[in-house]
Amino acid sequence: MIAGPSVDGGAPRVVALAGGVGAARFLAGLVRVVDSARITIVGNTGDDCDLYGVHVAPDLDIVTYTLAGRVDREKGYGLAGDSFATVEALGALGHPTWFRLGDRDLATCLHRTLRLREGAGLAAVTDEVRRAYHVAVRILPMSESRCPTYVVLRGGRRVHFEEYLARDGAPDEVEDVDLGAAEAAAPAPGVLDAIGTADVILVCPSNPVVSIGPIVAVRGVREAIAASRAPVVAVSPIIGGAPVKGPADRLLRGIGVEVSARGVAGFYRDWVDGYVMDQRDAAQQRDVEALGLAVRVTDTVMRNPEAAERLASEALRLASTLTRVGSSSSDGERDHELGS
Amino acid sequence: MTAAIVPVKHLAAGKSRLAKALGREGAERLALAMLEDVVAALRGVRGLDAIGVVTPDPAVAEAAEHAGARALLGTDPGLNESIDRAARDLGDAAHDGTLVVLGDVAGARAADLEAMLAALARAGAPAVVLAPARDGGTAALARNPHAVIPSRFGADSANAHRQAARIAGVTLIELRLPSLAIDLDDEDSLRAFLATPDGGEHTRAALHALGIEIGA
Repeated sequence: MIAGPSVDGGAPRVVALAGGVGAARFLAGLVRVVDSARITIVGNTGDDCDLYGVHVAPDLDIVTYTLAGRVDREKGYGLAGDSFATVEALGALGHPTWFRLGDRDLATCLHRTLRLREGAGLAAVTDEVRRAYHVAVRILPMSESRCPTYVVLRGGRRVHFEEYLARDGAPDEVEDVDLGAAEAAAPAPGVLDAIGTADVILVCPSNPVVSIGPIVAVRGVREAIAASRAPVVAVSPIIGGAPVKGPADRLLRGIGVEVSARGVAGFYRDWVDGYVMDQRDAAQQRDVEALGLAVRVTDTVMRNPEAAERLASEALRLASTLTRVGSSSSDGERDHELGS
Repeated sequence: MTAAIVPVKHLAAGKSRLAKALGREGAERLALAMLEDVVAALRGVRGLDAIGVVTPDPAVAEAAEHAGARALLGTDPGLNESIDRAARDLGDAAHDGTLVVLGDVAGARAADLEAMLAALARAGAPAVVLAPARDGGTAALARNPHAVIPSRFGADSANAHRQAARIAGVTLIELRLPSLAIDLDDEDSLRAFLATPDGGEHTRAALHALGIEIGA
């Protein structure tokens, strides 16, 4: 276990802000170095959508399946060995099939939909799903309200993020991203408490714009992070000037952020204290430090769980060198010092 | 805080189908009369904190201010883009959502618009209330928050808004409100409008002055 600042002197309480595939791989490493009972994952629900009348929560399920060891490793999402009979039959009936929902994956979504219809909250249902998959880590949705993320394409047309990604193949014509629904949403029960009592806040190597962006857009989350005494350490999702997976390059460009480790650091600088970036981007270390962030340069490629474990350790080690002093929950003002 | 947004095109660009029937000047006169009616109806709606008229046309902006609305004058990025931009520009006034009413739904009654806001409040955020026009378009759309589904006004927009709400998993309530059924964009709709018993007094007067009567 990595030592870290903790009120009760035990292992640090870690809150991890998480998107989908990249976050899930990182978290699979984190659970090897921190007791699962000390971790709370706050997951993005901006990608959530309804298909065939069921509530699909792509990022929450990717994280759950990955931590359960059940994810389809090649794709990074869905369940290993799943079948696709339902979606194929739906296709034959004329329904769109651009979101390839596996049969067992669909069962998760059906469960979610049925339980929500019965009046359960999304946080409780997410907890039921992760327990059913024997995941020991608490996973919280960022909000229990629907807060769809819209990608604004050139010309101004807005499309739901999953339509942009899965249906349209993530075209490089992004003009902006609309997080207005997340901005208006209340955080799910437990989110602000977890942030408020955390010893370390980690920002997983996820898409900064559409995975981390919605989480910190939710009402009160940024303020809670600012008021927290926990150092905030982000892991760069950009390696060698490109995202490992997904359309982060197109989205960053679209909102006018340089597609680089340095660019993402600048995007996070207002609320992040430390930054872990890849050795291939070492030339940008000075630039990131000049933004006021403490930096650790390392190999961030998560080839396997051991590599993810090393990366998580590096992030925690960097956090352990950072202390925030004089944080006050009353004004939400960030007032911290970076220790040596 | 809930804001109304009324999009109105450039007078020279709008309503080419009507310009054929009424002449360009007549069509412009009608557009301003319809705007006056829509703003007057909105001014009678309880629970609205701002009425913004979004337009690229300075003459429309002036008429909007004169009618008691706030003019949001800007370039014309397209109908839906200008609506979504207006929602941002209205800031806190749109904090609890928006009510978009097209500028040519001249017969709009305050009571019907109020019914939309009441339905929205009952549903709780996030939610959408749709008032379809008889031609498959959307006459008015209430959303809380505004950004919960994108604006998809235009042909067949009632379906487009239904679909957007469906994929976002957001509650959509549909209200069929007689005073919002007709948007005046062709000769047929003018006659249908004149056949309704009342509402849209400025528009009726303008049509009368232009010599358009029922059955004409």
